[in-house]
Amino acid sequence: MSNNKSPKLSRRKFIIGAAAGTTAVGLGLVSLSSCTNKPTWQELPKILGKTIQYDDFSDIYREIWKWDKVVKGTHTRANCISACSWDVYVKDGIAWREEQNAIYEPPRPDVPDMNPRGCQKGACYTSLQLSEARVTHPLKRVGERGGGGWKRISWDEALTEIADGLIDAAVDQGTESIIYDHGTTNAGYGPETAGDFRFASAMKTTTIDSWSGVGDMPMGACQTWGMYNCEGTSDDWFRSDYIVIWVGNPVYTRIPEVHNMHEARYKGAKLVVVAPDLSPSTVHADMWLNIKPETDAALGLACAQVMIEENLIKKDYILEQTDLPFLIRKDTQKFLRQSDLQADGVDNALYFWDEKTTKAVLAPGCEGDGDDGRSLDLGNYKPALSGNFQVKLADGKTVECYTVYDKLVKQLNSEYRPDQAAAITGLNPNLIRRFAREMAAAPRAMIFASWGACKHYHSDLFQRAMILLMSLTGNQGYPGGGVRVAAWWGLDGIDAMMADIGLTAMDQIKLIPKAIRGLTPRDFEDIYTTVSETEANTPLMPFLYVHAGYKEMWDQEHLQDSALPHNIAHYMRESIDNGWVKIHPAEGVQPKAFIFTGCNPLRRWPSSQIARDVFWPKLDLVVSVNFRMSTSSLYADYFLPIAAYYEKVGIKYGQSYVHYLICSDKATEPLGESKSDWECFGLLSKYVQNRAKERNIGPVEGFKGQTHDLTTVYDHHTENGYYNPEEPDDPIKLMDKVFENSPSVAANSGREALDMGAVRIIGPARPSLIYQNFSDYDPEDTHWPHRDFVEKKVAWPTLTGRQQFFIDHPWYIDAGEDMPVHKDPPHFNSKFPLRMNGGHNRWSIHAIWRDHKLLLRLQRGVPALFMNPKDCDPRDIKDGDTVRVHNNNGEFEAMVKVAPATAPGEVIIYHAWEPYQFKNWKGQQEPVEAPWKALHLAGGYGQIHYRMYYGSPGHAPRGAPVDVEKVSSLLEEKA
Amino acid sequence: MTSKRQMSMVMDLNKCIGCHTCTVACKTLWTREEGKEYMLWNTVNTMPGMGTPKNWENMGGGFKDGKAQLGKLPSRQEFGDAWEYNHKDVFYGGKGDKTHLQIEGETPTWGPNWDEDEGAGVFPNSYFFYLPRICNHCTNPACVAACPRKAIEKREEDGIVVINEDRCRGYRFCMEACPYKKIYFNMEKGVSQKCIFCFPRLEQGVSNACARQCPGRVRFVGYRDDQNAPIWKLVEKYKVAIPLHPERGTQPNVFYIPPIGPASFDADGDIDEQTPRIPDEYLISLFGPKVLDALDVLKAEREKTKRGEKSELMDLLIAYRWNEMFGGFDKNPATIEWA
Amino acid sequence: MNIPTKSTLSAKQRSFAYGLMAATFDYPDKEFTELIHNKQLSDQCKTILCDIYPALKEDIDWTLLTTQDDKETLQVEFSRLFDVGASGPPCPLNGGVYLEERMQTLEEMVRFYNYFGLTAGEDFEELPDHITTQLEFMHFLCHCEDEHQDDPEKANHFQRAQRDFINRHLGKWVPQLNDNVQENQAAPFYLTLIDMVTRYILLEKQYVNNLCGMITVN
Repeated sequence: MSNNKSPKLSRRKFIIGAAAGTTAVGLGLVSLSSCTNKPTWQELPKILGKTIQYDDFSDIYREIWKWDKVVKGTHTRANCISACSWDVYVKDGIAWREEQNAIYEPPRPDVPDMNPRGCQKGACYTSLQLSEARVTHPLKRVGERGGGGWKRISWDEALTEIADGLIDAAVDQGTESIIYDHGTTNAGYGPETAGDFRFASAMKTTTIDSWSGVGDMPMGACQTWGMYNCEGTSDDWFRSDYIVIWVGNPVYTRIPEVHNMHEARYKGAKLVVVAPDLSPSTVHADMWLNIKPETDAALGLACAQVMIEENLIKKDYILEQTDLPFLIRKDTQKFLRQSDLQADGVDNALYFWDEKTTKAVLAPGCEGDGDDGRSLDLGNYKPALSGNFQVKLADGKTVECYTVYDKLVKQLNSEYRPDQAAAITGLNPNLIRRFAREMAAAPRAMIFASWGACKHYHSDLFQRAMILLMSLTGNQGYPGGGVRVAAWWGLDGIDAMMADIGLTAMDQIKLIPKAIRGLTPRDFEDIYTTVSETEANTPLMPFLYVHAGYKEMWDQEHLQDSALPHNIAHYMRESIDNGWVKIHPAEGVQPKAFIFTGCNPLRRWPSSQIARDVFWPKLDLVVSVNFRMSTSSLYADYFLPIAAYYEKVGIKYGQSYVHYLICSDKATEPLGESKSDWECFGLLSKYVQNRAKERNIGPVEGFKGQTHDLTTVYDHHTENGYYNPEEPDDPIKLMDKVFENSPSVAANSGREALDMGAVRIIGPARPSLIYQNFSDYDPEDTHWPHRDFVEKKVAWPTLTGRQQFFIDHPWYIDAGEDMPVHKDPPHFNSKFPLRMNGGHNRWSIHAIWRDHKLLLRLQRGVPALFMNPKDCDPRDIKDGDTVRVHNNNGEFEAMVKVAPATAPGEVIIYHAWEPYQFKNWKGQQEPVEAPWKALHLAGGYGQIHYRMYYGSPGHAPRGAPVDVEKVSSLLEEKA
Repeated sequence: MTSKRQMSMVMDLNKCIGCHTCTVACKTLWTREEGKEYMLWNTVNTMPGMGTPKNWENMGGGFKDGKAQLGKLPSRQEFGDAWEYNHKDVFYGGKGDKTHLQIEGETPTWGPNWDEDEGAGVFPNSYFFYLPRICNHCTNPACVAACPRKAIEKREEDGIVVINEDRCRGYRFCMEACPYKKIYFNMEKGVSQKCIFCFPRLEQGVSNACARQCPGRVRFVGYRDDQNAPIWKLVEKYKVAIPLHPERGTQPNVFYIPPIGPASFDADGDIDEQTPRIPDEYLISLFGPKVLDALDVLKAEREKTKRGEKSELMDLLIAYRWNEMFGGFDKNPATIEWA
Repeated sequence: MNIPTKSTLSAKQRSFAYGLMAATFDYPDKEFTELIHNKQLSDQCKTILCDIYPALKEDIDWTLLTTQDDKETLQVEFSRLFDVGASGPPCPLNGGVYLEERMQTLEEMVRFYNYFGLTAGEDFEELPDHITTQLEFMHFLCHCEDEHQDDPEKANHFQRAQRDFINRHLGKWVPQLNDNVQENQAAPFYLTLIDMVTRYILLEKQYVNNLCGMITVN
C-alpha cells in the first residue's frame, strides 16, 4: 500500500511545507464517476461542473439504493455445524445485509423442503464483520505477553520475523516443536483452510487434533462401530415415527434443521426428550424424561432389559448386525478366538454357534475371517443367540461358552431392571417401561444424540447403551432410524487441499489387490490410520497432559475412575510406550512455537489458566491468525489479520444435514490490510523458504526425527509453483481443482460453485472414513447412515465386523466396561453440592458472535447462568444477582437467571463466553477440571486405537462440582 | 373505515424455537436509524414471562364496552434499552484484566428477552413456550381510535396499519391505547413508530422479512380472504389459529396456533396424560376460551396422522413447500429493486 | 469567543485545515515521527488552525504536540488507543462505533459521499466512518464551497452539508472520542491532538450553525 500515489503520502503534504490556501491534493475519497483512474483533487472542480442542490440531510436519503451486486456467501470457518447459503447485498465495497438464498429443492415430494435455513447469527454477520473487534493490520507485541502493548508492523516485517522464529524453533528442537492448532477441526473444504493445512504439512509441524478438545469425540460410537459418522440429511428425521432427543438440544444448536422434528410431530411422530432440565428442545416434545444428570446409560440399559424381557427385539437384525451371538469363553470372559482353537490360529477370528451344524463357526465379516472380513452374509449359518456350548480347544481342553447376548441379559437382569434403574436415574420405572415399549413399537425410531452426548465423563457408555437400543430394535441403518450424531459429505476433489495425499507409493501398491476386490470400510480405516500416522497429529488432551502442565491436575486422586486399578499416569505411560497414543513433539522435546488459526485455546481449553501459566512460558513464539481479537490472541506475540468470511472465497465443510455443499464468494475486499488465509499461509511458507535459503539453513529434524529441508517448504506448499497464493484468483484455481474432480456435486468449476452458493449433491462420493456414513447417496431420496451394512451386508469396521457391544480389551475388562454399563463419574461424591452443566448455545458459534451488541441485548447482556429456585432460595439468591461459582480449582462470577425449567442441583451456563466478559477475566472454564477417561488411551485392539480426528480422549467438561454464593444484587447495585 | 382486504399472519407456536432470526431480520431491515435503535418491531418472548415491554399484559389499553382505553405508557427501560458496552475499556484501558466487558452506564434491570428460557411452574412440571409478536394490524385498532391527530391509517388496500409521521405529533396516546404495547416512540423524530408489515416488500411480491427469514418455518402470510391459501384455512376453516388477547377488542390480524406441550408428571413421576403441562387456564388467559377448541382440533388431526390417515390441516402446518406459506408473496428479494 | 455569523472565514483555509487534521491521524511511521519531533506538525497545526479561530492559540498547549517520544512509543500508544482490543480498541477512530447503529452510520456516510459524487478510493483502507475519511469529506465540502465563492447561493448548499455533517457526525462523536482518550490516560501528544480536533470541530459547529441555521429536519 505504499506506492507514491497512496492517500497517506498525499495527505502528508498538508503538514510538509504546504501553506494554507494551497489547493489540496489527492485524498482517500475519489470521484464516483472516474474511480478507476483515480483523479487527483485538482480535477474535482471540473467533475463538479454542475451545482449540487443540498438543503438538508434528508436529501441524501431520497435516492433509492441500488445494490452493486448480490453475491452468495456463507460463514465458512465459523465451525458452525449447519451450512446455509446467503445472498449478501453489496454496495460501495461494503456488504450491508444478508438474506437467505432459499433455493433448496426437496429430494422427494413427501418431505418438507429445507428452506429457508439460516439463523439470527447468520442474519447479522455483515455487522459483525465490521465490528470494532476486527484487527486490520499485522501487529507485534511490545512489552510483556498479555500486557496489552502492540504496534503495527508491515506484512513483510511480520512474515520475516515469524519465519525466523519458526526456523529458530526447527533448528533448536526440530519442526515438531512448532505447534499448529486449528481449533475444533475448524476446517472447510477449500482455500479457506487449505493454506494452513499445506503450511503445516510443508513445515512438518505438530498438528493438534482438537476434535475432542471440547469433548466432541463420540468415543462410544467409535468403540461400537469403529467409526462415528452416523447422520444423514435432516429431512430424514421427518420420516421417523419416534424421535428421541437424548442429551442434545437441537432447538439451540440445529436452528435450520430442527423444523423437521417439529413437522414430524404433525405427521404423527412422537418427540421425546431425555434431559435433566426442561431444555428448550423439550418445549415442543410430547414426552420428557427428566433424568438425573449422567445416568443416561442406566436408562438405556433398563430399556434394553424391558425390550429383551418382553421380547420386543428384532432377532434377525441382531443376529446379522451385532456381536450379540458371538461366543465368549466362560473361563476367561473373553471372546472365543481362532488362536484358542488352532495352534496357528489368529486372535482376530471370532465365532458364533451355528444351530444347524451345532458347532462353533468362524463368523463371516469379523476381522480375521480369512476373507478380509468383508461380508456379514450368514449364508446357511443360523447363529444361536443364546445358550451354553461346549467347545474343544487346541490344547484338547473343553471350555464352556455362552454368547455376548447371554452375558448382556444376565447383567441387565441383575443390575438394570427398571426398578433398579429408577433408583439411579430418578425416573419412575413405569416411565422407563413406557419409553422402552414405545421405542420398540415404533416402525422407525431414532436417537438424536449430538455432540452433547460426548461431553460427560462416561459419555461413551451412554452411547454404547443408545446404540444397543437402536440395534435391538433394528433401527440402525434405516430411514428415520438409528443413533444420529453427525456425518459429512464426501468430496473426491478435496484431495486438492493438500499438496500430496499421505500415502506413500509403497502403501498405494499394497492397496491394489484390495482395491481390485473392492475396498471395505475396514480398508478405508486402515488407509486412514496410515495417512494419519504420516504426519505429526497429536490429540489435544494427551498433548496438554505431557506438554502443557495439565498432568498435575489430571493425576489428582479425585479425578480418577475408582474402578480402575491405576492412576491415569500409569495408563498414559503404558499407552505412550505401546505407541497407542501419539505424542508430538516427543516427551522431552520442548514445544517452541505455537500458531493457532481461528481458534481460541485460552477460552476453549479446560482450566486454561494452566496453559497460560505453564505452556505459554515454554514458547518462544506465539502467533495468532484471526480476524478478531480474542482472549488467546491477547497473549500472542504476533497477530496476523485474516479476511472475514464475506471477504474471501471458500467452501463450507459439508455436514450432511442439507443436500447441498455451501460455498462463499468474495463480496468485498478484505478490510484494511487483512488477507485471506490462503494468501497468509502461502506467504508464511514462502518467507520460511526464503529466509532458510538466506540463512543457509541445512536440514533440520522433521517428523519423527527424519530430516526436513526448510528451503523447499514453499515449493512443496505450492506444488512447485502451480499455485501462487498472492494472485487474487489463486484460491478459485484451487476450487476449480476441487470441483473438477468431484462428480458427486453439481458444479464443475470454482466459479460455477460460487455463483450457485448452494451446490446440489447429485451422487455418492468416494468413501473416506472421516467423511463417510457408508450410505450411497440417492438424489431422489432423503439420506440416512449405515445403509451399506444393512442393505449390502458390508462388515462394520470393528474387530467383530459388527456393531460390537463386548470389548475384551484388558483395560476395558479392568474398568468393568467390557459390556455397556452405567458408572458414576469420579465427581459423583464431591462435597460441592451443585453440578455445572451447559452446552452449545443459541446466541453464538463458540465465541464468535458472543460480543455482538444486538444479540447481547437479546440476552442478559452479560454472562448469565440458570439455577432452580430451590437452589437459589436457601442461598438468598434472586434473579439478576451476581454470584460466585467456585470449587477448589477455580471460580468465576456471573448473573443468575432463576428458572423453574432448570433442574434442582444444576447450574447451567451455556457455551463460550469469553474470559474478558467476566470479572477479573476469570471465565466459566476456571472451575472445570474436565477429567477424562484413561480407557480412551487404549489401543492395539481392532477398532480401539487412535487415528486423526478419531478415537482421541475427550475431556468431560460437564458435571463439574461447584457451589454458588451471592456476591451482589442487581437492585442494590442500582441503588 | 374498513379495508377492502386484510393482510394477515399466522404463527405456529408448535414450531417457534425462540431463535430470534425474525427479530434480527426486522431490526437490520427497518430499525437501524437514529431514534429507532432501541426498537424491536418484532420480538419473541418466553411465556409465561413478563416479556417486552416488561409486564405488557398488565399495562391496559384496547377497548372496553366499545371505547378505547388508555393504558400505561411503557418506558424505554421497560422495552429494554439499546445497551452500550465498554468495548473500549476492556483491553487497552491500561487496566489489564481489571476491566471486563460490561454494559455502560446504569446496570439494566430489563431487556427485550430478559426472561428467556426460565419458564413457570414447579419443577419437574415447569413449562414454557415461545411467543413471537409483531403489530397485530388490528381490524379495530385502538391506536387509530386513540390518535387525536388521525395520524394512524389503516390502509384500504391491505388493512396494514401505518403511522403517518408527517401528521404524528408525538402525543403517544396510541402507545397507551395499544393493548399489545407494540408501538415505540422515536425520541429523535418525536413520532411514534411500529411494524409496517413490510409493506414495501409486499408491494413487490416479497413476503415479510420476519416470515421469509424464519428457519423454524413458523409464519404464514397472506390475505385473510384468500380461500386457496393457508391463512383462511387455518383461521376460518379449521379455526386452529386464534388471536392473542381477543378480549381487548381490537380484532388482531395476527393469529397463533396454540402450543401443545409435553405430557406432565404425576406425583410419582409417571406420565399424567390427563393434566396438560401448560395449564389450560394459562392458555385461556392468553388466547381466550377458544384456545381449547383449537387444541382439540389439533390433537384430533394429529391422531389421524398417527393412524396413517390423511389430514389437510397437518399437511398445511408441516408446510411441505415453504414458498406456499406466503399466500402468493413468494418472490425472491434478490431479484427485486430495493428501496 | 465571537463566532462569525456570516460567511467570513475563508473556505479555502478551512478546507486546508480539515485536510491537515485528517493527515494527523496517520500511523506514526518514521517520517511522521520526524514531523512530530521537529515541531513541524505542531507549527503547521497552530498556524493553520489559529489563523481561522484565534482563540485556539490559548486553549491548546501547542508545545505538547511536539514530543521526543520515540517512534515505537508513539506506535504502541497509537495501537493501544485506536487499533486493538479483544472487543475493539478503547478509543476507536470510527465514528459509527460511538453512535448506536454502526451500519446505519456507515450507510449515511456512503449516502453523503455518493450524493456529492464521491466514493472510497481503491487504495483507501479505512471505512467511511473513519475520522480521516470524515475529515477529508469536510475538507472536500469546504473546498467546493470555496470553488463557488462567487455565487453565495451555490456555496450555501455546501455550507448546509457541512452543517449537517458536523451536527450529525463529527460534532457528535469526536467529543466522545476525546472523553475516551482522557479516560484512558493517553500520552500528551494524542491527548492534545484529539483535544485540538475536538475544539476545532466544536467551533466549526457553531460557525456553520450560525451560517445556515440549526438543523431543522430530522
